[in-house]
Amino acid sequence: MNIILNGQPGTIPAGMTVTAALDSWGYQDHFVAVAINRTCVPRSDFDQRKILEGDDIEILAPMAGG
Amino acid sequence: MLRLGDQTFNNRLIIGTARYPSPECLLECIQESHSEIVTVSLRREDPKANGSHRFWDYLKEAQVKILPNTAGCLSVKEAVTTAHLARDLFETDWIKLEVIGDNYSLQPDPFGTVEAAKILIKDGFEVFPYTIDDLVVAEKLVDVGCNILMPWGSPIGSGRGLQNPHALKSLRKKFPQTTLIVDAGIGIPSHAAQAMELGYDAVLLNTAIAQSMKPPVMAKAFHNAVMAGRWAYEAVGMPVQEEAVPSTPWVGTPFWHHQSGELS
Repeated sequence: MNIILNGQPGTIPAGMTVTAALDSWGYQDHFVAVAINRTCVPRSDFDQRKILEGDDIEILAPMAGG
Repeated sequence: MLRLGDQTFNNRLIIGTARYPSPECLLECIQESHSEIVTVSLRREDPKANGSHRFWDYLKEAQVKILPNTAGCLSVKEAVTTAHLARDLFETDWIKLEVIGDNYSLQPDPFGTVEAAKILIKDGFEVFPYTIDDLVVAEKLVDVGCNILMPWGSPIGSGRGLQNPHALKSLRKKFPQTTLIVDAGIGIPSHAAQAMELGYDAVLLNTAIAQSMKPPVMAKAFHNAVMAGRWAYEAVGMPVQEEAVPSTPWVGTPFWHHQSGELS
């Protein structure tokens, strides 16, 4: 299944939840927020929300800022 | 005491967390500045890099209130989505709203800022809008429900201080009940003191501390400057005179001759 991850094209198996996808990409234990198609996916929904074909996924973490 | 939303703080200096030589230095600066609030951003995370992990672990140690920003957002949609992501991650309704209108000057887009503020306030956020020092824009932001305004002193990271003190003074006069924070452009402690002397409730700065030669010392200097400025505002300064007025009394001046009225 084709997706976009942090601006780069990629593929993942169909039917994965956000939690499963984060684990497969190496984000387990990372403190991150996720937007799909420019809409926030609440962390409480990570276990339920499935990644769909063509989804544009942003994975964001706290960073230094002014 | 600084009141922001339903919370109160003892310190009126808010600092950013970027551009420090090391995370250890950042922590030391938070301590020396006595800041109780720090700003953070959200950026794309590479799972192989450990940078954000390390940053966040350090920052948690400081036990300070987090004010997330929408830095770098160029549209209302980006800013609103980033605010929602920040609320979900940091579990705070606070958002430092930045909608940048010009990449060169980093000048905020006043139209986009007002539009985004309106949406975010409806969504339950306490919005800290980074804005220009324009009365009409400020009025629009207050009209959509902003309790806090953050006009710039000068462009972000420029260190040029308060470019238009008259405009900042006008904002203070026009919005006596609104919390006003000078954000951006502060370069040295006297700039911060000047903002506080104008009656601003707080100042927000980053680079002035982080990029100084001795950041922890500069953090301490800013802490004292902000306190000095606030105390000066509360004490109300003397009226400015057109001419010299002697501070030492004339009465009893030695060698004064009554008849000529002149000193001999």
